[in-house]
Amino acid sequence: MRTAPLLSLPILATSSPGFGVSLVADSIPGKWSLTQEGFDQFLACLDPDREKAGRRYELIRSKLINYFDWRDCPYPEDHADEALNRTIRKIEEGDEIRDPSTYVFGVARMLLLEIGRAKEKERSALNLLPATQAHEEESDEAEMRVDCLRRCLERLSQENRELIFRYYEGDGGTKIVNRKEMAGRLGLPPTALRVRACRLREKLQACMGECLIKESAGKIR
Amino acid sequence: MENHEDETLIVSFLLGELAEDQRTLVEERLFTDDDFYSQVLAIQDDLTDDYIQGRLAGGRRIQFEQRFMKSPRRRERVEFAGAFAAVMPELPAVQPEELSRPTLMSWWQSLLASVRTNSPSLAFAASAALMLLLVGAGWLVIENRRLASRLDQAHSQRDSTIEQAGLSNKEAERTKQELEAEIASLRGRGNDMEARLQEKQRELQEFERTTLSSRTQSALGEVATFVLPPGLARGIDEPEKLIIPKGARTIQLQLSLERNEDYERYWADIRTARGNLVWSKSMLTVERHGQAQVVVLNIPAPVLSMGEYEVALKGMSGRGKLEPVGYYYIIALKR
Repeated sequence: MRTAPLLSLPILATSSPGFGVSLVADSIPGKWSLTQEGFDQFLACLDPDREKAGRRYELIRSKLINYFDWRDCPYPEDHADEALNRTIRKIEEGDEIRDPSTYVFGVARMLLLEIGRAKEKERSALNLLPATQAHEEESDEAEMRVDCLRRCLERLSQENRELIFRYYEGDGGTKIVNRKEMAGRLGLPPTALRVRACRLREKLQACMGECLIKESAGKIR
Repeated sequence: MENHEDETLIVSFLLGELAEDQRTLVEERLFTDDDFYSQVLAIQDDLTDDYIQGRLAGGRRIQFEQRFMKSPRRRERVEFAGAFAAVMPELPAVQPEELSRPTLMSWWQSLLASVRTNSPSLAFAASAALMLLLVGAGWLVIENRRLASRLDQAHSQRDSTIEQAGLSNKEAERTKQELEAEIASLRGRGNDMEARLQEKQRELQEFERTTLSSRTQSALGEVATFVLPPGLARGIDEPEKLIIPKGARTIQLQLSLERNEDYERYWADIRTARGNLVWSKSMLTVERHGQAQVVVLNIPAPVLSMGEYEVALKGMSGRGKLEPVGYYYIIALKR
């Protein structure tokens, strides 16, 4: 995953199997590749301050990934990068973009239609049924996850650990009261507290994922 | 904190319940409104936690499983939420004043509370039953008073008869015996009334219990319920075998307490035979099932794979300290 602030060209992942590859090939005839110049132009569209532009880029990319995921697309990250590539290409070609968020959304919608068509083609060709098989997991996996998460939590500062536990503690009404109290105590607007808690959760989930990969690799060895 | 309309819309969006045009509008807003986007992410996390904690009602739970869990990325979120719920009890000691205290209710308040339900038909049935019981109880009270008054009259009649009539000892003895027989008979009827009153009260308790339990079942979907007795010693007693039916979405464990406890809140941990924590739940309260005290745990069925587990129940004292209450050993088997 690319990380903000972005000061140089990100490595693009367009090598996913299935429609990821065919889409890129279908939609971009000839050899087009992302250049540092094109990328800089896009960042400049987002914000004159490069640091802020980097953060804005990451937010748009996160929105794109979730957009494709909520639409049940097979490779949300690759699709997000493809949407960004197309946008940058348009800028390079001289298109004037007034509102990058709206523009990117338009590109993403077009791409979604293509993905839908490609999916349909693939399904009818291979006579595939939608894969909705229930995931039956071993208790070992669950244990490993808990161990990993515990280790990741240890890496957090005491303050952040308290924050994430308190934020997600309780249910229904208790949760709402807890969060209001927390925001008051920390002197933060509720929205800022929400963003902070969500980021911490994302961070923990990513850390747990990395730990699981390492653990599984260790087991295989 | 959040706009309620937005929250409902976002939940419907995440569960794939919106029509295509509505959905597109939400998606457009995601790209143009950063606050809205962060709200969607936050609600997604809360929804996932609610699923893991067994707090999603039947229809929503099914929708969540069929729609939300379709994508591998979102399944990862659910897995993370499961692990997070397991480590939650390890949070630093909670100050007692931070805990929401349970409100003490009188019997009639709890009775009224039990008829406040979301289901109109259940509410109507409960109200009708309550009315009948109140009328019956009122009649019993009046009848009891009438009998008590007749009992007093009989006592005074006996005394005055003996004193004033100047009857012979034999006659006085006979009259006394007759009056005492009448008193005994009236007492018997009084006891009978008392017993009927108690019986009605028991019926009322049973009614309250069954109304509550049927509500729980409708909220949790297909529930497999198991009652676990206390005091099973590991290695000595055979663990309880729980045969979990295939379609069960929630496993309800009713942990019977060995003796009456008065902790404000209870915590439960479920560990594998090797001692690894797989699930836990805080802020549990005790329920009365007749004479017994029971702590009810609702666990999402996927949490328990086939195997042996230990359920540790802890009580939270007024100072926020956790104290062991009981251990329950189970073997989960899936049909």
